[in-house]
Amino acid sequence: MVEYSSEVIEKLLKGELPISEIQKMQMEPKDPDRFDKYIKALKQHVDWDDEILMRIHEHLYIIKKENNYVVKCSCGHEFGDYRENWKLKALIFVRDRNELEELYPEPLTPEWSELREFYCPNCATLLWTEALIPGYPINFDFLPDIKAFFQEWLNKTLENVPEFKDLSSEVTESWAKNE
Amino acid sequence: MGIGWNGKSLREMLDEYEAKSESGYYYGIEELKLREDDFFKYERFYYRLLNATLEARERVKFACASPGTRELGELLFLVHAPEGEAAAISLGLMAHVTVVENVIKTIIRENYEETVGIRDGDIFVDNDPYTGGAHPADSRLIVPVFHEGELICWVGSISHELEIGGGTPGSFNPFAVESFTCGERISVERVGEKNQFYPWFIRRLRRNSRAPDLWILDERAKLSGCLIIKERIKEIIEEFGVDYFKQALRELIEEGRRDMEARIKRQLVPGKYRIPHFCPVLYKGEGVPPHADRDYIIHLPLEIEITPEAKIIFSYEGASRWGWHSFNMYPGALESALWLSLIETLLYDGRVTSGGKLQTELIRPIGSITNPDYPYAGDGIPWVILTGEISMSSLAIYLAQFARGYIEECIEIGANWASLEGGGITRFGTSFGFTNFEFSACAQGARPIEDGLVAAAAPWMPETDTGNAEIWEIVLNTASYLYRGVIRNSCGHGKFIGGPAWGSLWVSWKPTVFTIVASGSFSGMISYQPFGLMGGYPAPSWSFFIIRNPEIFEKISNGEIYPGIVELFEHTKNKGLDEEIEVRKGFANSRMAQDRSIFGIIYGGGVGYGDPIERDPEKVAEDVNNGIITEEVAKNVYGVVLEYDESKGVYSVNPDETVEMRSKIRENRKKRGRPVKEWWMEERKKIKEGKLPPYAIEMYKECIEFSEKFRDEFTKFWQISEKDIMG
Amino acid sequence: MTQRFVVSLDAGGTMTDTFIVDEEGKFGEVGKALTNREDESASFIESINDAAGYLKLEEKEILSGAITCIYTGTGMLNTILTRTGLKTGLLITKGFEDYLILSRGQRWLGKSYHQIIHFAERWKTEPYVEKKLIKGIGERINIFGEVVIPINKDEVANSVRELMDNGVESIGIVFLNSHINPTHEIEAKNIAMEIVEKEIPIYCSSELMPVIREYSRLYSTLIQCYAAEPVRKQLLNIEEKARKNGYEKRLLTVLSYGGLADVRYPRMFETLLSGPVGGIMGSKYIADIVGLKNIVCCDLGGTSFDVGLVVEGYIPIKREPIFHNFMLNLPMIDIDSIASGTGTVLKIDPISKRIILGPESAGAKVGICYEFDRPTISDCDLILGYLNPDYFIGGKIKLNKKDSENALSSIAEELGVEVYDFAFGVLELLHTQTRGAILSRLTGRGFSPSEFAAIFYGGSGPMHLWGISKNVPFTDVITVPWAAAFSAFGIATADYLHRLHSSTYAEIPHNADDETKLKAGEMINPVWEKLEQEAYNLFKMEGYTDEEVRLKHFVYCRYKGQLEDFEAQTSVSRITKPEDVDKIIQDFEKAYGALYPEAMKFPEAGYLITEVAIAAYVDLPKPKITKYELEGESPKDAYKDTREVYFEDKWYEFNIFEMKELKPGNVVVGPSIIEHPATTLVVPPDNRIRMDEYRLIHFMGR
Repeated sequence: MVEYSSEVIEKLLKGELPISEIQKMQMEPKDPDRFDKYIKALKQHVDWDDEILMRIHEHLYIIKKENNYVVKCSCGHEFGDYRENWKLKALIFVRDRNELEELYPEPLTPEWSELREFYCPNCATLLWTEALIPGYPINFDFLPDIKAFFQEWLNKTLENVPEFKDLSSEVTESWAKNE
Repeated sequence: MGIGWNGKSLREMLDEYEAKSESGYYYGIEELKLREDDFFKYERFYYRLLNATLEARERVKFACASPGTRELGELLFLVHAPEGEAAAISLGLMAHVTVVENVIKTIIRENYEETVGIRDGDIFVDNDPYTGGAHPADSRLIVPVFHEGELICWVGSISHELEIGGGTPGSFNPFAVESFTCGERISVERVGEKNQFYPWFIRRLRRNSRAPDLWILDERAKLSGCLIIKERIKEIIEEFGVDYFKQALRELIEEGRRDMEARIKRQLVPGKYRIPHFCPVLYKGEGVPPHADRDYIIHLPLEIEITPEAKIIFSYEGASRWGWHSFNMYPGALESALWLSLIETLLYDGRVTSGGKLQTELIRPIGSITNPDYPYAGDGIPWVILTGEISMSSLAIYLAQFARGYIEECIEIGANWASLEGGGITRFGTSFGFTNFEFSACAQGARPIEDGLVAAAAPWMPETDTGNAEIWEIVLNTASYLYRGVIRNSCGHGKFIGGPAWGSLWVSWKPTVFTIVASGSFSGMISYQPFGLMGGYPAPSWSFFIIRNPEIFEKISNGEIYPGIVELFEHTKNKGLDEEIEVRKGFANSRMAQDRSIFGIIYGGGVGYGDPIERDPEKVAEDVNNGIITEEVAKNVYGVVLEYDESKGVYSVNPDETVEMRSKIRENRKKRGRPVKEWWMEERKKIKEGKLPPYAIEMYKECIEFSEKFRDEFTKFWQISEKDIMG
Repeated sequence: MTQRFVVSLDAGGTMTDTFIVDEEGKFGEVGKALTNREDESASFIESINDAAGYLKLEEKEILSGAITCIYTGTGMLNTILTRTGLKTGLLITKGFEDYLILSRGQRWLGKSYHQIIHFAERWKTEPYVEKKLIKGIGERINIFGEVVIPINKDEVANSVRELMDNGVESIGIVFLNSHINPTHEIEAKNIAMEIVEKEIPIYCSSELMPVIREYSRLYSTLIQCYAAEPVRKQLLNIEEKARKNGYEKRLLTVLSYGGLADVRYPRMFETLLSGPVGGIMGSKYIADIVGLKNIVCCDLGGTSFDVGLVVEGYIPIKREPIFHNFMLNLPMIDIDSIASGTGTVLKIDPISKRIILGPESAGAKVGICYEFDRPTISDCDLILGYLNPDYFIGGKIKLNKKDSENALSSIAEELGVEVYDFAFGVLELLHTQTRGAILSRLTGRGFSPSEFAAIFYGGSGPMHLWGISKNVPFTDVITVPWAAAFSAFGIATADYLHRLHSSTYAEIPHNADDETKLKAGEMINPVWEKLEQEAYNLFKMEGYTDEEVRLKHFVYCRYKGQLEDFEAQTSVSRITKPEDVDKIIQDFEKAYGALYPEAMKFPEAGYLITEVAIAAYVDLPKPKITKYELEGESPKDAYKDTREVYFEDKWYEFNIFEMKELKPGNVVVGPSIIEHPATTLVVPPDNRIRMDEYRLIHFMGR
């Protein structure tokens, strides 16, 4: 059975594992206990103490806070229930044509899509970019089924797991009501 | 008496297979008996079968005529069970794992067994997307293998032809608005018997291609390869016995399914992954029939659900209708593309058979571009979209493996390609036609641990290769390369950068008649990928351009302009010569290349990973020194301030100013970034007032009308009524 | 009178083997020394000394009596792997400066099936030349040899000056289509030589390998620029050491296509892939002696299994071998290599419980039983009783059987099988894989094993030949007592040979008329003439007259439209009449017919000859294989012991013999094991072996 020490996983996470070691890792069958070791390593990776359930992004985690499952940035900022698209609570910036050319000069500049950038309101890290047609709903890229994952795939018990459901439209609904 | 196993007809076998597979197991096989009895024997059996396909490919590759097959190995051999599923697959054009089985199923469903008879030595060929694969350029050759009167299995093969006739030279025909002008079409036909082609089949190829020898030799090569595999199968049956052979074929396929199931559970996370993307159709003024002569967008909202039962459901609910363009997809095409991404990211070290496909499901709404309800929809090059689907589904797998902690496995399978096709008359008066397949070296996206690669791989062809310029020049005949290299500022920016794009530039030299055609994945009017990863940027897509003024070539020739693509654009911009260049960020139909015309293609880049201002400043300096990005981009996008040492000719990092620049960028983001709610209010108003760009409104209207699901999503997100958008 | 010898040395990564043959063709034990990476001349002497010891002589007596001394090392390989070559500058057609970064997109080369379809296993490789030392030169020549852009001479001059300012130690020049028209490359070289003033290597791609495919020409040129001179220096250093010890001739080294050359030979890059060459040469030599025409050469070592062929006494050549992750333009003996050796690591996929062999290898660390952290094939060999833990490298290394057993048991347990059944099953998988390589090699070229004898060598060849050759109808299965040093032996038998290739373009349509055929002659004859002259010049530099040189002629031909051409040796050396062309076409059809079924032939398309080549030979004295008197069948003098050995599904008592004591004529009946300090020959219960009058060992059924 392939297995790696916690130190190896920590190094991999921090980008300190030499490429030659990573290449060897790729040639091996996957280590089945990776998830647990990874979560353990992640605890060393952030400054706060909340229980990490899953890392969904370079900087974003699903954590368990009392009875809530929320998205939290590595800087400590919280985005709310993980079933609501976290982007709806970020800062947004849409580039105009000149600003696009700053990234990709002619003839590489796209013309029919708009590039949206999402920042963390606290640390101003660029968390996500999306290139969609003007007027397209903000995309909810990944909604994990936490319940099935922990209970059915990992055979772990989790308390008060909320139902697997996309709640994003409830956010816009509340915005429309406040209008 | 049927020709199938134990006296059954193939039709009976197929029905039985379909009924039994409803159990969730391939053919209802719940136990792998042979494997359990003698694991080593079973394993040896598989290697014998696999080696036969590999041997055939290696052996005939060199005898093929087209650079697609010889130089780049665009060739595949497979062994199929009688009902069609593949049990062993060679290297090569792996995107087509499932398409040969569609042809076999057509042969069975249309009852060729009774109407024409299927005999040892028969040869069947098919290149019709309606019955099988992605596009007519893929020609499939299939032979039945008999043992004592029983059809024991099929051997199949595929190659991509570089010239298949049709409305425009090359293999893709991006301007065929109906199937009729896509190129020569061979629809599940018997083209020979007794291991010999009919003379009229060879004649047909000769009369219907601009480069017939390439096609004829490729068909001969595939037939030879199939015959080699047939020989091997005979030997295998002699060694293992026919009963073992039959049972082992089935178990191998089922084992492929099990491997897939287990890998999904081990490496992914159940849930929903959404990757909407778009393909502009830029046909206005490109010489297509009036009903197709317009510019618009195709909507492709890919939603992937990984269920608690470890099934992967790909859904295209909400996709645009099929249209008067060349990108429509018949059954088989999309299926093989999506499944391919799973092989390359999950099943790579497992049993690569058709079995894995049983763990997937594909929702293709009837009448949509993914499932046209018109049998003559243009299908010349759905690859424009399909390769993108591979890339998009790999993004979903990326997110899942990232969450599981397998970050060394996260890779965006880049397929940001573009193709140059063309043809004409050589100086010797003969015809020529080609598709330049150098594009099959696509840039790959960044990983969570490392930069992406330039010219790295093509998902449909793992043994990627740009080929040699000297070989392509033989095929391009009257064109010579002026540039083949990296395009500056074309990588998806990020903490780790995506593979930069590369490009080629040619000059047409004293041609007789020479026209060129360009097409590629989605288009440069929009970003290829819908998003970068974790704050990285998406990569720009491809462009084609042509300059017909011979003076520009003279300037390159005398050294005044460097023949790099970026430099060429800079020069014409600075000298106010913009109108000398025709740039197409979309398909270009039959452009005439005259003497000393210059034309080129910039292929696409790979997505970035992470916030660019988190990139190691030393790496940014290296990028500038290697010509990957410019000093300005280093400063404005990466926040890295560089100093130039003239004596050494290199840039180095100014650490203090870099720290300052990066904190300035963060400040600036807080200033220019607005709460999404604010932005939402404004956008909503725009939508209600009909102030979106016309192409966007047109797309939304079409899809809202066509798909209830999309209508609900759209109106709920914006909290508007259907009327607000439909007017 | 002093005795006279042929001395050949094969310096591998770990050991330097010496083979000494006296003028009667007799040879004794192989000399061994650890390769001294810092100073190969030291291990050179040490290894000769070791071999001399067996003859009760000193190295000086051997070297002063040597007719020829041949040395092949890993210098070239190491220079490249350790990146310690010359700082090289590159002049390339303008617009192609990124070529090494693009590297043809072939990031999968040299990988296994499962690695190739695994997209995450694609990584970048560091180019051999820094970006700033790559200079684009304005120039372009098209496929017809016409100048599309004239060469910018000022740019050449300025670039060379800049390169010199940057301290380059060699310069490569690679322009597109220079194989058709080399004038731009030659002009650039002349300008560069004027500017550089001092002696540094400057090479054009067209002078090294004037054939189509610029990528492999580029890599060949770079290898020559980067590594040739440092390696030559090393070889000259060895020669000097030999001279100090009494050697009077020039030191020879081995070329990748099996020829020998003086270490002053200019085209040193041709030595790069000479590692597996010795075995093929040795096999051919043996085949000639015992009168075998067709043999398949099987080299099983710790890390890889190499298969090569000798067909009708001729060794096939390939021209674009893969080295690491790029292709070279370089004629090389056509050898297939798979990553299966006795050091190959075995592991289990936790999902499917399948056994996976390799591709990694323990190399010199053997396995769990010695210094490696994971189990290998050797561990299986050990616990099954094939390997003697106390006689590995003659007992110099002790193997730990207990460790192997523990490690393998835990895997076997996971699979729910007995550990010995498991280990034996693993061997069977190895045998299937390696047998597959042999068969696809043979059948892939249109041959049947029933026309071939197989020779097994390499440290592990004799141990596994029983399994690999099982059920394959070879005409004979042969090994030799010196199997572990077969490569050094083979080198001693190599020809003094140079091969030269050049592109040409001769079109011969279907049913061509006489005039067209003679026109083809006008294209081909001058190229042959040029190559012959070049060969004479090379040999002249090495001290041979034109009269001593023998020539063979080759064409590379294809059906028009094909992109690959096929080598055909032809008896025609000049085209003077139309029938000569017919003969060449016949020769091509015969060579092609050996490769492909009838359905692949396509004469209606016409023919295209794109390249011609010559092979030029000078005859050298060679070792002879002595014919011994046959002694009795009984191997009783060699008998040592018995040992419990697991075979198929049970334990047997195997008789153990000592290889060194085996006499010509002896027959050993299985179950037996014949041990040698450097190898082990396994004879299963249903087999026996016989040592013939040349001391060749024939493996056969009981």
